[in-house]
Amino acid sequence: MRGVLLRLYRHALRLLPRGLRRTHGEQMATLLADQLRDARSPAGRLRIFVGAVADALAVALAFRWERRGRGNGRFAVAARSLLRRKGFLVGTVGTLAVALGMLTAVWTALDYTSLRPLPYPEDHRLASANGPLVTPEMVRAWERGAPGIAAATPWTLDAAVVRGAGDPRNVRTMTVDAGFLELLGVRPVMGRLLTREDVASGRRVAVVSESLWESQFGEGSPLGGQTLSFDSQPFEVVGVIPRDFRFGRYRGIEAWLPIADSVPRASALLLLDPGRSPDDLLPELTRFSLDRVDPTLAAQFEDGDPRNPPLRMYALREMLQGSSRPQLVGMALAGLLVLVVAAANVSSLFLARTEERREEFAIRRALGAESGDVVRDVLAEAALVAVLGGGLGLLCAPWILDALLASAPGLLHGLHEIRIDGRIAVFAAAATVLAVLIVGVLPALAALRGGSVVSRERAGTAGRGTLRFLDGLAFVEIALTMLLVVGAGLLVRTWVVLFPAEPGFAVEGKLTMEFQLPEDRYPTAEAALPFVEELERATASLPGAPGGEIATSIPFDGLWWMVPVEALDGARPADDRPGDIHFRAVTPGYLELMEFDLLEGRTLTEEDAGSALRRAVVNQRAARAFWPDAPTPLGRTVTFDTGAGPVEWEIVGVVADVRTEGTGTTARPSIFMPLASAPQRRFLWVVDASTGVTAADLRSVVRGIDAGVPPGEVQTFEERIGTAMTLPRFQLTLLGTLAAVGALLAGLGCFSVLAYRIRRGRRELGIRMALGARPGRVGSRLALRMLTLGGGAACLGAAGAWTLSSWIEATLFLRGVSVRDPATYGAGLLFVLLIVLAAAAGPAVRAMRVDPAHTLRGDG
Amino acid sequence: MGRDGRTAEDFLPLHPLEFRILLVLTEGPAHGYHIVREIESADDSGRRLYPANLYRRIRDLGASGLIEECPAPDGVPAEDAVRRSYYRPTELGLTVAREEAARMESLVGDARTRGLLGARS
Repeated sequence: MRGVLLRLYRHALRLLPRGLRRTHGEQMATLLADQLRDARSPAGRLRIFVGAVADALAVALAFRWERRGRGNGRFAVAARSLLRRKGFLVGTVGTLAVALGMLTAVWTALDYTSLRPLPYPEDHRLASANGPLVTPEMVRAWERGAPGIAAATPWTLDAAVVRGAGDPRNVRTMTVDAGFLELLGVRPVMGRLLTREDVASGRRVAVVSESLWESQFGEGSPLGGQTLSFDSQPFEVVGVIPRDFRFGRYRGIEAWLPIADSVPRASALLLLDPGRSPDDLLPELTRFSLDRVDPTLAAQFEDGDPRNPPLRMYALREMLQGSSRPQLVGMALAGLLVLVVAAANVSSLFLARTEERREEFAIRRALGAESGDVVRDVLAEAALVAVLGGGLGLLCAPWILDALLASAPGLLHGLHEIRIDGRIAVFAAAATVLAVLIVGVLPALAALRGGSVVSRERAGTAGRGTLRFLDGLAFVEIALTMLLVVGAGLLVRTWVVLFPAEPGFAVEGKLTMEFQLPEDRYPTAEAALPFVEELERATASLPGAPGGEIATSIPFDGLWWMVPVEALDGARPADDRPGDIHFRAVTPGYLELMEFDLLEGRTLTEEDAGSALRRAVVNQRAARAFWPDAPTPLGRTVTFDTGAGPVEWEIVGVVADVRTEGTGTTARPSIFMPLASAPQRRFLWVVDASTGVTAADLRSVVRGIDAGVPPGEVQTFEERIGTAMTLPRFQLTLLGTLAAVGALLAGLGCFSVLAYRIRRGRRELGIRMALGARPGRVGSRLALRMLTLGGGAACLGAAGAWTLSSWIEATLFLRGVSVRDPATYGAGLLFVLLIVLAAAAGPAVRAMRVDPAHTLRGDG
Repeated sequence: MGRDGRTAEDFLPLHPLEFRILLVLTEGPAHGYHIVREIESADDSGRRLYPANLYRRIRDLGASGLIEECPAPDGVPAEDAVRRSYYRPTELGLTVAREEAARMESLVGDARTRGLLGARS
């Protein structure tokens, strides 16, 4: 703690004139270190630290005044006035410091995780496009002549068994056009990148990552005509690129091969013309593409269904960082909410203090002070508090940021070293100072109330008018607290529903292995079936007979198998628009093993696998997307082509959506069908490891079935998910922290205003007791009065929150999520009433013990 | 005479904290923390003396030629001698402190004569 305080103090010393700092700054820090060392307790240390900082500030201000003469006397008066009320000073400065520190840290974290440029050149102009219209040929057509596009290059994800000089490996690959890696600013460490001639001539050449190169040819071996076989096809390695190159969230890609023109679907990486955005370009590009495919279609897409557009475009940053607008807006709003609460707290504390000083102001005005002088004095105090709180907040921001980041290891994948951003700090500080000055006007004007006549009220007492004013202030503060607590609760709740931080399936205790069966041994997809059956049998014979299932795609495998839907319920979709479905061929027990929630119907069974009837289960998102108006999708059919011609599937069950990739994205329409009915050569094996099965067991099973199949890498689901869930969890942590700090600050403000109001009312209680009222009755009346005040204000706040929730529902987030949650309102009410009770209890008990005569003299 | 040609009289009255610092230093060279402890123990108000205020006064006293930095006294551990600056009063500083004390004594005597303070015991 001492080290932290000393570091903060060194920052505070920057307030002093440079000359003094240079000659004596080091000695000051040494002296404080001695004082802190000799303090008896942590609290004592904190007191010394606060005193030393205030002292440094006072000395700094004194220097300024000496230099400027009498011109800034107002700030000297304000500083002395503030120093006389240390509790008030600590409360207001602390509130602002916490709010500004949080705001700066959270906005910085947001900026780095969601808004920072990607580590690619021209990153703000890069975009990605996909959809049924995107083929390699179409992408090249865009580059040749589409409006708003400077460059376009197609890509797909793939996988292959790689054999070279080293052990065979299952490797993820990308097929790309010339220009793809150049657009992302990749420079080869050896050799060259792919050229147009490579792609046009269909030459078998490959660019590989340093890691694949080293695993096959050894570290440091020079490039010179080596070949690697990808699925038994020899490819000459022409270039090696740095191991740390990543294309956004796609992990583990180790080879880039020329894309074939025959690929039916691709994605596109686009470089937009300066000033163009994906949103404004999308309609033009869609029309351009449809004109080339079938001009008659173009008209039909004019006012297309937003659910299933033929072409989708995203800014690359949005796609790769996975942040969507509602998330950013929500988070930025939560940050502002904390600032507003802090400013409101400071304002109400100032109001209460102004009320206390009314007599002083009245005397000053009676002695000839202008109204403007009084207003300027109060504003000067507000400005000092804002500057002090702002400064302290900025000093604390790096620590808050470190603490927040410590909760999310691996968040930034080493792309950025995160530091407090100067622009954000300046903006947040300016926002704080401005907010305090704006809300400071209210207490400044309140200082003018009561005219220029000296009040008859005596120190320590308050008249009826003052109490009424303070009642009103407490009422507003409580209502605001209720509004904010409920608002924050609803925001967090909505967020959890929309952007869940948990994947939605059973993650723990599972091992996964990825396969790509070599084409030379398994020339067709059907040929893979005996291997799959063997694998299922062998799983059952492992120690403890663990559950083990096979699927062509599992959550977080990073590869999507999307195909266009050709027909729904036996007919082409009424509007004749293609839609995509993510298909997953699975063995019958897969849904149970993964513990997907079954919402309707049933899961897949062994009979489905053997049956000629094609039966399948869809996820909730698919049910909503394809049969939005039907009460249930059970019994409906969907037709698509997974490579062996169009097949119709009957829906027998609906499971809940789960996360299949990392950040911010909502679930994709998915269908699960028996693997036996739609076999693939590429699949993943999921084994329940709770029986003690190890990775070595799995590898020996694979070798036992076919020594020619290289076992894939064994990963747990935790490893597979890796950092993919870190960002959503981190965002939830940020939002939760903001909401908690907001609620806490609001609660504290509420508490202090109420406690102050009750303290000021003690004279009234003394009079009552002097006139014969029983202390118990006085105390209970006070408590009742405060509870009535609190209850009324809370109801008003709740009404405000209700209105706010309509706004959240309408503007911020998706439809269909109700944010009017009675539990949140109940919790908010309880929180507010507890604060009221806590604020009222102590003073009420003390008030009952008050000696009436003492109070009436004005000493109490 | 001071650096800017001022005589001892020109420095009077001294700022109370500057006077206290000079008083502590009349006993021998001392560093900041020693001065703080001496002043805090002599002052029964319980108020703390913090670094910025102390060194601002030390700087002013030094600039006026009333005190000066000096080597650490013998017997001080080497680490302390490096870490801390030690100060001692100059001849002028001692004269000013004496004159300020005399000025105060005369003030107190006046107060006593007028019955504001009790007779000296």
